Amino acid sequence: MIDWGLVLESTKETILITFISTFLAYLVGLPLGVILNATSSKGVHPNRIFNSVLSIIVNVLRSIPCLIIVVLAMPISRAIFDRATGKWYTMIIPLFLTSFAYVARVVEQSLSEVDSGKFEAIRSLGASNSQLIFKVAIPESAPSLIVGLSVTMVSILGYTSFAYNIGAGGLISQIWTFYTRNTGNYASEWMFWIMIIFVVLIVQIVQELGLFISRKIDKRRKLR
Amino acid sequence: MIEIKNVTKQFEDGTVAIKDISLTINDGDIYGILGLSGAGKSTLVRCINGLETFDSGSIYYNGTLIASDKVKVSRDVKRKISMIFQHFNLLDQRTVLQNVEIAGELTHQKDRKEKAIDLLKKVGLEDKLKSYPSTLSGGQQQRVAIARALMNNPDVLLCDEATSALDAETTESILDLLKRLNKELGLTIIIIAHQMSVIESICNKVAIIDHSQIVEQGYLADVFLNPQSSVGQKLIHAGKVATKLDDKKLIRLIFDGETDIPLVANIVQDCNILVSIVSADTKTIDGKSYGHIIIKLPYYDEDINKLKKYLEIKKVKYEEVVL
Repeated sequence: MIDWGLVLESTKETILITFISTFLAYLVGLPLGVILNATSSKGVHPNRIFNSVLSIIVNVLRSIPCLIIVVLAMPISRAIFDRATGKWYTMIIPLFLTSFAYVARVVEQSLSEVDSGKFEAIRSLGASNSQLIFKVAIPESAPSLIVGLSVTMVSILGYTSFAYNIGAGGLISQIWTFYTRNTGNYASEWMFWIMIIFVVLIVQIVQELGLFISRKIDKRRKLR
Repeated sequence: MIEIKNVTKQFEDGTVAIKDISLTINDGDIYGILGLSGAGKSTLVRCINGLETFDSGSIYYNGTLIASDKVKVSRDVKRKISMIFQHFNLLDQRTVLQNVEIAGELTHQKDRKEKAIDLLKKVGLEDKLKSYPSTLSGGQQQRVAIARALMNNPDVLLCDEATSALDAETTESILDLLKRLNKELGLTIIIIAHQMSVIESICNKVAIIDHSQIVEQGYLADVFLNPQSSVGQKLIHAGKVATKLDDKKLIRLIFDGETDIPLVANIVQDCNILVSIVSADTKTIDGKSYGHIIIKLPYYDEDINKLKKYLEIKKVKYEEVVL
């Protein structure tokens, strides 16, 4: 028997958690990535000490296991939503905290792909550092940033599995719940497979859409 | 006028990039800076527009100090001293027109679009406004870069190996364009190259850099005719005498703008010596012949003396080539 109501509800929760967390992660991670890139030795404003310190902070944040962050974030969720468990939105703060440092690295990587000669050329026209960032670094790496966004979103989708631990719902959490309740015969239940197919579909759509948009906006000659 | 005074730069690893270089570039000059790869010519030019800093010395522009170990080249000065590059460095995600416009965007010029279109017409790309750089040939990309460099009405254009990634024909067309801009706009041009051919076809003055130092500088004709430094001789006569000849005499006939007769044919006719040409490299600069021809003749003292006498009568400079 398939509980379509639960499948659709869980899908909605998964999509909401993933998109809102990703959005918040980029809100902080994008500027952080830009700063990491700008202060690196090949950036527009190299600052070795600042860059090393920031880099270490980002690494430390990335090293904390997601489950720990889920627990540590509970007081914050409680302060914002008046509750820390049981609803999909209680998963947003922990996922945001887990992901923004990752986003910073993804963004930094994309920006570092821009050839330094382009910066020199525009700098030689009298550009300021912020003009170099907004007119060269970000627009020139846009196709790569879009691919990074879809990869990040898939990775955050994977992290929604931790919603199981605080009863925050979502597809992956429901799949695990279903498994624990039907350990003997879960593999012969349609409900199990339908939920898995939905997860696969979301991953496919996010990933392929990212690649499609990236290719669409990229004005470099396509090598194929 | 750009005056470079005693500029020295060391890289972080301690290697000397440029050492005590002094150079004056006058308004309207097309100044060539020649040197082998790694000689320091690129670093020197990048010091002028602040893409590199240096450790001591100073650079003056129209009498004002623009760069020293303490003074950084201001953004206003950068706009007056533009630059083009070996790999063009266009922005791939912008159209040709947008690539040129960016220079005006930086200073919020209102008429930047019209100006960019005008400049693209000047460089012969008015039909490519909406194209993206990746669809253009190397020569076209460099033309876009030149148009971009002209957006701020610069007085000086620095060319860092600007034709090194281009084939011979395209190189010539880019050099013609630069020559035209020099004449029409009074643009002072500083050209870095490792090939003499680029320098000799466009420059009026040249400096040769070797091992981080200037070893020779002056008017093109003087340096070209009679290079004093070993690297100068190497670059100017590079690869021109390929074979080693036994029992033959090689004589270099020097054209310094005074001789303008069919000299080799006359030697055969008047002296009755059978000479053959080993290598020839002459250029016409301002309607006069410059350069040299190396001729080979059998090793008979009699013939050689006859030839020397003939050349002296005709007032042709010559020297024996020792291989």
